[in-house]
Order: sequence, then structure tokens, then C-alpha cells
Amino acid sequence: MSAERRALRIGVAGPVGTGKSSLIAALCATLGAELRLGVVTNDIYTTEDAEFLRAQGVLAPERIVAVQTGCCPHTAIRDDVSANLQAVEDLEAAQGPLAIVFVESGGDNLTTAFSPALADTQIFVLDCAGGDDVPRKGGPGVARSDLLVINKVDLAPLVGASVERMVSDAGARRDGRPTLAIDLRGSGGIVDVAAWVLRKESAWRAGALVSEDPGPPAPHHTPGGAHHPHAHGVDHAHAH
Amino acid sequence: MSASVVSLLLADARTPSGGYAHSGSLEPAVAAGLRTAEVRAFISARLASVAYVDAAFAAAACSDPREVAGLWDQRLHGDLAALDAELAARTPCEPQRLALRALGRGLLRIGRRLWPADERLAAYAGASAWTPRPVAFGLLASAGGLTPAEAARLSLYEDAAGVAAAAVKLLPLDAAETTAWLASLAGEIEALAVAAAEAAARAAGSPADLPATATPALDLLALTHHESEGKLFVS
Repeated sequence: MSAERRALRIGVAGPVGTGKSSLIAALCATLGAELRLGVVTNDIYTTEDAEFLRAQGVLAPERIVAVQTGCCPHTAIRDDVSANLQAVEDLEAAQGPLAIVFVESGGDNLTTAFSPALADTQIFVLDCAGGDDVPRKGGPGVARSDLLVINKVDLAPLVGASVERMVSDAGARRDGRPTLAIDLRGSGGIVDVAAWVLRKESAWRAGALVSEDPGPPAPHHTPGGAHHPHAHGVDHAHAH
Repeated sequence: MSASVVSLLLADARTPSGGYAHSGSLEPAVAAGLRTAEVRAFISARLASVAYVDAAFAAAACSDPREVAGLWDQRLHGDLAALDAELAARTPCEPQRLALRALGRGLLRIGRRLWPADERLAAYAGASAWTPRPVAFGLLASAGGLTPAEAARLSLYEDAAGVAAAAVKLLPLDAAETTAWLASLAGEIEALAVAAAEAAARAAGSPADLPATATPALDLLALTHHESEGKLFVS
């Protein structure tokens, strides 16, 4: 399938519980009438996210598929995208043509980033309840995702978090890349995220999409000086 | 590319062909009560059965038909389709067929990237609707200049190493222990690799004669796993 014909692939990553599934559900509810959408989820242990999305009724159930990642959600979106790539291809073959396929990473840590072989552009999701120092901690998702979403701003006063600090710290890290502070359950903000998605989709159709690549979490160099893309593989003992 | 480096690439779990998401049915076996102390025996049993059959098919696919003058075109397509059909007859369980397809597709993606001019890889990727792992594996080995015996050895090792890697995630196990198990299985792997390559050579031109083992317990585990909730591995 040519780049012009296949769906735009948008990766959605971020720590567990920040609202990745809810964000995708809200985007599907907002955009589903005008665009044909599909979703691939990567739950670590269950098909909960896929079930959640199906239960929201925002998309036909057959346009939501779950991929098992063998305890390696991080590997599945970066180091070895085979399973996700096949799932996206199969989804498009069965349900296509689609305009956008969202690939939801299994909740991971701040070093998560999508491979450019899987996602054309990517959103990283944080939330106020997870601690307002997270943007300052940085990492590839915070610093170089194409869009940073800070969710659950309605909870900020309840947990003593400062939205202003989070947005300002993110701004310092992101070199002009956009950050949106939103509240999916209340006053919204989804409209702004949806507008960003639509701009990316238009650029993709026009062949003019420019994507940041957050890169491996810890780039290192082989003795020969060549960049080694498998930064994750050398320290596989860490917990995912 | 030197054949010995190709061997390392094919054996390296970091080569991205999707194997990390499969447990060789160890996950449903553990769910059914398999204990840590029994994992080495589980690996050994797989080696002598499904992994041996897979290795023989990999060796058969690795046997370059271009060596047979005049039969090149016909065998280029015909032999590989026959291998698919024979392997399907040895894979009665649908979830296992799906797993072999996913793993084979992953391998072909890498193979097409590494050897874009290889005609057998290209023809097979275009013609096969199934692309099971053993046939794809043999084709990659062939494109990389390996012998059928080397393809069989790698295929067997991959099977064992894949289960060992899954075991570390499923059971309280030190990966140094599973590595020691793999090393202790070297003799079995070597003997089975030689036997698989010989079986493939004997079955040249008549793939129905390739080895066939029945593994009903593994088939049942794969079916159970396919239906189960809360699983970590695809298969």
C-alpha cells in the first residue's frame, strides 16, 4: 500500500493510567463521523483497553484490535514492531481504506517512544495526578513527541499539582513542540487535540507530514562510530 | 555477508522478527501447572517433536533448487508451495498456524530488507498466503548462504531459546539458569540438526516424506491459550 493510500499511523504512548485509551475514545467520538478510523491496542496483560474502547461504542468493534506483546510493550513499539505492524496492515486490509489508525502503547515509562517504522507521528500522554514534576524529568516522549498531552487538569487542585508548572517545564523541554493541557472528563480540550490530529491527517494526505522521532531512550555508539539502533536490547534485564 | 555472521543475525533475538511475543505454548503449559523444574524437559520435548519438524522444513526450504539444472523455474514456485501444504498438514491447530504465519511474516520482512535481490524470497513473499516460519526461515538461511544443516540447527536453537526467554517472564527464574539449560541441550540440538538436514535431503522432490510428529498436548495447549483471557504471549 503506498504512503498516500494507507492510513496515517498515530502512536499514543505514556505511563499507565494517564488516559491514553480515554483520549483515543474521545478522538474517535469527535472524528469518527468524518474519518474512517481504526485502533490497535497493546495491553500488557489483558485486552482491557480494546474492550474499553469497544464498550465506548465509538467505533465498530471490528475496527479495534488487540496485540499481545509478551511482557514487552516497549519492545513492541520501538525495537521490534513486527506484531504491531502486522496488526495495522491486517486491520487496513480487512477494514480499509482507513484515514487514521491509532496505535496505543501498553502503559510504560518515560523512556517509551514509537519507531518511525510503526508511527508516522506520536502523542505522549501525562496526567496531573501522576506528579507535576514529570515534565521536568524529561525523556524522549516528553521532550520530542509530536504532541504532549497533559490530562486530568481538573484533578490538579485535589492532588496539589500545578498545571502552570507542568506546561512551563514541558515548554522548556520541547523546543517549540506543542503541549495541550486538557480535561477529558469535564471541560474538554479534546477539540484542540482533534484539531491537531486533523492537521496531521491533512499533511499526511498532502505528503507533507514532518514527524519528530523521539529516538531511543539512551543513544549510544558502537566502537565503529555507527549509530546502533537497538539501545533497548543491551539492557533487557530491566522491568517493562 | 559472511555466512557465520548471517547465523548470528538469525539467532539474535534482537533481530526484529517478532519472536519475543511467543512462548512456544509455555504460557498455557504453566497455566496448566507446569513447574519451573520441568521447563527444561518441556524445551527438550519440543526439540524432539515440533522443533525437529520445523527444522526439517527449514532445511528443505534452504536447499537451493538452482543446483538442479533445468528445473529452476518450476521448482522455484512449486517446491515452496508444496512445503507450505505439507507443513499445513502437520499443523492441525489453527492458533499455531496463525503463530507460524506471524513469525514467518516477520522473518520475510527482515529477509526482504537484507536480500532485496533474492528471487526465491521475493517469489515466496509474493506467492504464499501463509508464509509459515519454518519455510521463511529456510529461505532467509538460503539467501544468506547457509547450508541446510545450519538452517536446521538455527531453527532448533531459536525454538529452544524462545521458550527459555518466555520462561524467565512466566516463572521465578534466573536467566542465567535458562542459559545453562540451553547450553546443556547443545548435544540434542546438534544431533537433531543433522537428522533434520538428512531427512530434508532424503525428501528432496517428495516433501510428503518430510518428518511428521504428532503433538496433541501442544495442540490442545495452543487452543486453550487462544481462548484464554489475560495472556501475555500470542502463542
